[in-house]
Amino acid sequence: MANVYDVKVAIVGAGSAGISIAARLLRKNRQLHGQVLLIDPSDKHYYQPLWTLVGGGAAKVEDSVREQASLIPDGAKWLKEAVDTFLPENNTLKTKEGSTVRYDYLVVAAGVEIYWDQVKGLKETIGKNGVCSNYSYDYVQSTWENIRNFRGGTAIFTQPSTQVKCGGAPQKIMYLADDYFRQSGVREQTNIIFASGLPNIFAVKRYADTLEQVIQRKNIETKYRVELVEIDGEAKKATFEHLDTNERFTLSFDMIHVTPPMGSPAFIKKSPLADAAGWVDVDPYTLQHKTYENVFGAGDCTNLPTSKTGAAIRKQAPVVAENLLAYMNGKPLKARYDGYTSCPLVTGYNKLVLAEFDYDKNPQETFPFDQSKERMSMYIMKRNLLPIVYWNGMLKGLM
Amino acid sequence: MVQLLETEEQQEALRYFIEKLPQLKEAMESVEEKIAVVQHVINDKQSLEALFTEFEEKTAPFRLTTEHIEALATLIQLLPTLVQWLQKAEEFILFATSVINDRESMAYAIEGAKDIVPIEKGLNILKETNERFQRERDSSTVSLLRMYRLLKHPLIQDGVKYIETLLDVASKHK
Repeated sequence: MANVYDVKVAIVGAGSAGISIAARLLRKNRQLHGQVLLIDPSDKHYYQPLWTLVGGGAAKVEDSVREQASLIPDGAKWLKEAVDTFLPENNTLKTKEGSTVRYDYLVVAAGVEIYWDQVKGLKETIGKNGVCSNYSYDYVQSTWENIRNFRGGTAIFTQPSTQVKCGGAPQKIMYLADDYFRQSGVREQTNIIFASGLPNIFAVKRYADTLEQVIQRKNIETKYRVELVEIDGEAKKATFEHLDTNERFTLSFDMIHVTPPMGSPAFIKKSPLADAAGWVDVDPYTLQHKTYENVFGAGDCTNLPTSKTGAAIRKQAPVVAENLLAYMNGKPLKARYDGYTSCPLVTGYNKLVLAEFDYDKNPQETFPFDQSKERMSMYIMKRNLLPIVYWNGMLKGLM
Repeated sequence: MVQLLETEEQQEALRYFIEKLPQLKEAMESVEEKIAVVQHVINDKQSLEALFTEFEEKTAPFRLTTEHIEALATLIQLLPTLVQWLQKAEEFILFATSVINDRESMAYAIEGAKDIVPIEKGLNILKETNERFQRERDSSTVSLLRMYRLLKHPLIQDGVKYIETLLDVASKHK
């Protein structure tokens, strides 16, 4: 129902960033109780980092989802509607359902949009014909079905040239699949191909060196700078385009794990908050909008030049909360985000390389040992501890 | 004096002073009242006596000394650092409380722990062994051949080799 809301702080998106920032604002300033409005149409909240393990048969999909209502912080209100238009000159936004929200301060944390239809034929065949993807709650289990029932042949794993959430995920599921194929005795009859739109296996050399060794050890064929453009599920053929030569070539597959192209959500792209590429245009250190001072941004929808991960959001949330409160009180914005991001690169069942780095691709490792090595301890941390830390620490604004 | 008053600066100052006279009068009266109150309190020995007696009675059981006053000053000085640690501790306590009260997370943690430490698997092995031992119990003597066959079991072989290595290493460190 169309309504008019007048709030102190509006937060667009109740994902990792939105909820975490709301919880932090409310903990630090009790006067904001009842004055923070989260706007998100989804009634489910997903812990997406678990989907790699779900696709690999090492975790249950139901452990990755909770009711959104159970996670809204005390003192915050939730408007279950989708934002359509930003009018930052008037400190106002409008929803698709027709509601108007007038705010004093705005935080945009709306995540990324998956462009399933940018690969011709993908929408029609996803979840069947050996075509699967970990990038959706609806299809993630089809990945495990395909891996478990694979009887040899060609298994392709793709990564687009666009930014994606968790840039390491497209290769993590490939390593798990390789491990499982070895356990089930079909690896000898299997050709694994990693077809990526990027120029290398990983952007940070320290971790790329380890991953190159993993690729060699696992005998995986790599094709870089190639983009999946078309897929014919029934014929089991995938067409790629070389990004440098524009030449097209087709590969037959028995299973294909697709990482779809992603980008900024349409309602942000068309708004005055977006930069030329469509992302929310924020200062990379203070996370304040470059044009509208009362607007802040966090998470995957921003133009921060770092990898889009939940770990990055964990470090961005306190910066947004602290700087927004400082701005409210007319104080200088002191909190700084250094581009920290992390990618727990699962390289097999019980093996993980924990990559952590900043804007300059300098390692920012948490533990006092060499994290570029494959370790079981880090795998246990990802599988057993991080989900608990997420639900009870990060979303409560504590970690 | 007249010469001095003829200067523009002095006239300007005098004009300002005259203009502000009502406010100045008000401020003076207010200060006068407050001084009067303080004077009355000082002179009211009975009230002061009661106040100090009550304070001393209340603090007497604590046996406060100058050391306590110094410690209080030190504590105040340390507060900015202590608050940081307390905030961390508060965050940790809130996290731990949240985990304990979150049934789904607790179930997930217990399930995960079972995978890491296969207690159930170990218990099942022991249970099955006991059952089979009871069921197949026989009174026959264990022959040398049977002992020899047992010695060839990989677990026993590994165990013996481990003991050999241990003895070798221990002898080097003698």
